[in-house]
Amino acid sequence: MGSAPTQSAAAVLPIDGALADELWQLSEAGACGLEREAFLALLRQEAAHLNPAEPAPSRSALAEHFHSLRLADLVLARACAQGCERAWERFLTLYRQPLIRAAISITGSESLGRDLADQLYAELYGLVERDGERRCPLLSYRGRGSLLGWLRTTLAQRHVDHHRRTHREQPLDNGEQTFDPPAAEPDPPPAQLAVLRSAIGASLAAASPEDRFLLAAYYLDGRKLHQIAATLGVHEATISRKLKRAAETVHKQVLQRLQTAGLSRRAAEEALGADPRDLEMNVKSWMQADNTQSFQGEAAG
Amino acid sequence: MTGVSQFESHPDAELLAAFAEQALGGQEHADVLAHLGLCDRCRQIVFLATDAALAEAALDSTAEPAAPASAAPVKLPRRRFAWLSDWRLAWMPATALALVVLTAVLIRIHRGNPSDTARIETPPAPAVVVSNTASSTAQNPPAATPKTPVQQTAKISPPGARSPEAAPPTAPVVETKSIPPYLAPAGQPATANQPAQFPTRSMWMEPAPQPRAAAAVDKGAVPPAQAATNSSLLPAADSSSPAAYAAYATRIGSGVTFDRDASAGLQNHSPELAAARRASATRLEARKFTLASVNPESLPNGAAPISLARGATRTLALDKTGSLYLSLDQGVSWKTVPAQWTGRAIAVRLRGNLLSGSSTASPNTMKAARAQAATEAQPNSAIASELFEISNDQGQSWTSTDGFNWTALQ
Repeated sequence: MGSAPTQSAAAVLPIDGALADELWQLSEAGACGLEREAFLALLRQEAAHLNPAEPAPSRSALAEHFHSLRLADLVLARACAQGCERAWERFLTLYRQPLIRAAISITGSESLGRDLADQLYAELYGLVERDGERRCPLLSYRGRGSLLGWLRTTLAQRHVDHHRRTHREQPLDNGEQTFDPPAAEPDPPPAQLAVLRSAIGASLAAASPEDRFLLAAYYLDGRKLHQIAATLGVHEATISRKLKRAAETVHKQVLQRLQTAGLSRRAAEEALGADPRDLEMNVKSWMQADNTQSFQGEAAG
Repeated sequence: MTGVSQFESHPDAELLAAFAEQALGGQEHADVLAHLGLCDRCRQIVFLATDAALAEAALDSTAEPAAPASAAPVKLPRRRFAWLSDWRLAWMPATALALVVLTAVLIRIHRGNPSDTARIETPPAPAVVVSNTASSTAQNPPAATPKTPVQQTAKISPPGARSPEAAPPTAPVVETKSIPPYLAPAGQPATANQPAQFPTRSMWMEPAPQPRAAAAVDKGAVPPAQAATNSSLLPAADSSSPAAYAAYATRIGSGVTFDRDASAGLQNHSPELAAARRASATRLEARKFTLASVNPESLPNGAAPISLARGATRTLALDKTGSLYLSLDQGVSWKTVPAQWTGRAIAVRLRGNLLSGSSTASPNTMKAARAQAATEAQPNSAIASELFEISNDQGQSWTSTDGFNWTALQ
């Protein structure tokens, strides 16, 4: 177990001895088998993420930044990524059972969950090489949230990506499928449908990010109120109220846009009663439009 | 879409995990939220991670402190009494408990309120029923019999009231049901205007009336049909006047009394009314004279009576030896009636009123009794109108109008 970092090692950072000792105790770096130099090097790496445009952050900014991190989890992840044996022992002690339980909960199957957890262990241990170099996913952990939360999210990512890759691989049926054509109904004029389509698209696009998330999670994904509430950290009654308000807002905006397009109030309401199958508009695919420019930089970093 | 491009176009696990733990700042949180509104993959990841965290938290809240990691098999999170923590499920037992309490309270109120409990009605004594009542009843054709066998309730109004709605609030509600004639009990003819009074279910909860005749003279306890008939005896114009009230009470006789509470406001109106009320009270007291009221030691033989018949002024008692006794002073003193019948007398009863015809005796009995009454010089027509009957253990009967001279029935 290492001692507190020396003053000379911390001289390259505006970290005095008191702050260094505090961070050392806070991170429990000694329990992970990290040496003092390695700990300070880790702090230097994390300080570089604080503000790339400012190469010399102040001491208070550094202290605030490190206190906002899950420093113990971060140190443990870095120590595991460096192959420290004591860190792995600590990791297994703390996270082995929770990780398996999370994998079982995510997959809904004990066997699949264990397989998923073992697969992630292999990745975390650095058995997977890319371009001839061992890559440990723990290096992408930066201490914003808990390490266990990161592990759960990583498990969920693996599971969802695997499912999305394989769920279309359905065996072909031998029998011919017969499709019953829907009963013929009087269709609204195509021009009216086009107006309705554009009104709905514009109204959804104008909705706030939170409203879009609520509408998509509730109506498209079929999530329960308490699930959405747990994700956003609010009460489910709040989610219910916000959902109702969001739906009313979208409905009102669609009516307004239809009236702006030249329809009367009554015609606009009748147009809203059109069969959604006639709209030729996949709201789900439309809501999955590529709008992820803001995260490209995050991924590149 | 390649794996690299997919990774670059979505927030990484770090951001998603921080978002699920509400650890992101304002702008980052808004950016991730906006992405989640568009990306079902990331939404699915976040929800799966959140569900796993909730399951873990639920397990931690009920499980023992975390033991060191071991090779023990991992079990799915299972909470034995997790359903107890769901407050929504608490509504089911709470609702059931509330229903049980409400039902118990309603039953308690229903049983405990004497004003809501019906009284057992006994038909008025035939000896005092006005003849017009019986005649009007007999003249009603069978076609007038209501088709519906159940007549739910009848609110008894005081004499003189035109309709049940005009009854004073203190008038008791008698809950009766009319029954078809073929179901009428023996001795209680069920006609269209005089339905047999059957106690309803609530009546069974009441104690049996002792003595039986006392129940019939409870305040305002007039059978609905009789009350309607009695009301028809009054002139329509002055049926609510005190004089009409007194005349009504006089004509009705001892079969019924009027409501004391209802007539309290009429006490100072007329001496006729006061006299009628006194007569009614006297009859009421006389009706309380039953077998239990007879002192066996006052009988000449000293044996307990087994049968009793009371007229207006005469009382006949029959003991277990078959001896018949006559009393003219309300059972204070008794006189032995010489046996004029064969076998052992087992029952004596008052069969009816000769003048009104409202008797339960057969026509032959009534005819013979009328003939006997005509031959006897009775200064009191009320006494002469009474018809007593005695039966022996061989099924034979004898009748008498004075209780002393008996004539065998043919």
